[in-house]
Amino acid sequence: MTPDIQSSFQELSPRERLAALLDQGHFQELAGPFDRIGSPWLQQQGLVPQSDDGVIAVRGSVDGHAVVAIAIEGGFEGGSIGEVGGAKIATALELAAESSHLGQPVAALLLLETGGVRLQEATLGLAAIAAIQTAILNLGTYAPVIAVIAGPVGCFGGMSLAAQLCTHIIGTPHGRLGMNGPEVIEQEAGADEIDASDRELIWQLVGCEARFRDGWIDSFVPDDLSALAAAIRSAVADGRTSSRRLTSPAIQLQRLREEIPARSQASAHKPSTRSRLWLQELAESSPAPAFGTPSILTARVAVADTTAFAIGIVPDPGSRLPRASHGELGLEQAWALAACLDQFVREEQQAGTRSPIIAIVDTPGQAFGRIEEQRCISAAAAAAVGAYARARAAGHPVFTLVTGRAVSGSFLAHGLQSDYILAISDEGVSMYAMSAQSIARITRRDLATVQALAAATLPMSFAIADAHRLGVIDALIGGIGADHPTAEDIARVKSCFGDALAAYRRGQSTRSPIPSNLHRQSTQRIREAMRAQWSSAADAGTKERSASSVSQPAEGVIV
Amino acid sequence: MTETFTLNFPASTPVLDRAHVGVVASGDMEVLLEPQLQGASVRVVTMVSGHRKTWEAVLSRFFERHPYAVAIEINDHGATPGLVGLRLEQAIELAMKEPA
Repeated sequence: MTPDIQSSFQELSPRERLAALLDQGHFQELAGPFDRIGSPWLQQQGLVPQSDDGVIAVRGSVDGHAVVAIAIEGGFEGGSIGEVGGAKIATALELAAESSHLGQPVAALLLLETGGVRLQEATLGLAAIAAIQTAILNLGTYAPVIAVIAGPVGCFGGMSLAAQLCTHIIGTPHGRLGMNGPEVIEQEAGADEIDASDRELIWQLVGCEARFRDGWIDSFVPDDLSALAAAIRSAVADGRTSSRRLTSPAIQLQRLREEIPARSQASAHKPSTRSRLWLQELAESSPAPAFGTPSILTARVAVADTTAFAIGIVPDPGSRLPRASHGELGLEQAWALAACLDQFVREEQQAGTRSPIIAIVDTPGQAFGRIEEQRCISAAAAAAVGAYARARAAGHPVFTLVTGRAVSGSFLAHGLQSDYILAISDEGVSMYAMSAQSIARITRRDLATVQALAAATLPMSFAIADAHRLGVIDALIGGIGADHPTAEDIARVKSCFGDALAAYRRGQSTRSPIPSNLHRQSTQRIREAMRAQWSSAADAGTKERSASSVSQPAEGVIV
Repeated sequence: MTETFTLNFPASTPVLDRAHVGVVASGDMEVLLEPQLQGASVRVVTMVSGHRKTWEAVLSRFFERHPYAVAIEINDHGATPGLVGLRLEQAIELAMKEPA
């Protein structure tokens, strides 16, 4: 490489990017194309899988520091995260953390080009991103975890939360970072909310330059290989292992309230939802708003011999941000969720207790809106993910009860960072990443086709029973009146949590086992292949010949 | 829906190594190439069905000019015949490169 001549980074292919950034251009790929572990779900939907599932994971070094580096191929299915690619990222980070824990620190470099969850494998994509988030936070306690958002795809959806959890984020003028893509916001909220074709507006909202100005990324460098390499070397050498972006949710909440006035008529109306209903029914006393946020309710729930801290997101028609008034996870909800969890964990730490936490889930999704993107809802939601993960790491058993809709980013932030996910088996209970209408628009298919595919493809299904089959939901409880629970129903749900708590205390896993799950063989194959190759990768050197000197630009991105 | 088929061609020139080029992106394709003892076999998985005849023509022409004994897998997202030839040549070029 010639450091004195500006050479574009974003025009490089993923393997070229890795070769350009790692010492001597050398790396050893883990679960590479010749391992032939592609997506098992795409072909039944008429799509051709790629042999590496669009995710390249390698071991190498930066200035002599051991790193695991991951590059996403933005040209393949929009850089989306499915079962295989997601498992690859999570496993790479987990192996790096294991090595770091044993005294050999391995930093991580994530070259993100991703639209987020792969809609054709939505349930498994969401679960994989939750695992990636846990792994980023865990590794981040040992070594730097550096996200690079260079463009052209950007970093969206659940992966924008993952980026926010990294210890460093580096962006270029071609990079964008946002939770909801402009097309999805336009689809969900209308063209008055955002005009997805207004390029200038989009870049002002989610472009890396704006993100850097507002403090949501740590470095902003030109699209130049040597500048980017220098920023990465500095982040690796820095060794800093905690992000300063998400540390003060209570202050963020206060700032939001100061800058966005409350709407004139605060509503006394409290729409009934399953979150509110189940919190009330489970609670020892009436649920109370957390941090003055009427849409975040907390309550104490007796479980076995102890008292759990239960949290739910409920609608607030008077919400200061109207896009988050129907029970969505918006800016206020996410920061309040993080703040109240942080506070609870601090109090418990002082008291020397580690009470269970229960997330009560029935949420239509994250808030889709212009203000939400402008104020980086990715960071707010990531703060909630981080708060749950830290509570878990501190020794709190974290449980989830799905009573209704478990959707996308809101489920990542509230429910998926749990030791045990219990769902009521009921028609109104579902798990998905995006409404069928939006999927149809984003994947350029008609609605009927999308609905037929969802019914025929396990990880694209909206049914909670299918999420359970895939091992994403750990247990289902049937014969429960989801809208009118009896005293017996409540006792049965509590007894499920009591059993999970007992298993947790015995040190048993309460997650659904993956190795024995026939629908998760690809996840298992990735884990086994990478673990086996990890140790032999110590003498990092390129065995694979990849096309690093020749590249053909893709003609466009098909999601 | 996708279409999958395998085509075989006479070939005997050995290659040095395996090679991977391309990406399953719109108008492009991924190639996995590995040495084999005798003959060339190409397994094609393509998003664009109904073009087997074109594949046969493009590939048989390629192996007439480059009779390498290789096992190839192609994952295709609508590459043009011109790009198919280019990707295959890139793969052969990489596979014939002496180790650094």
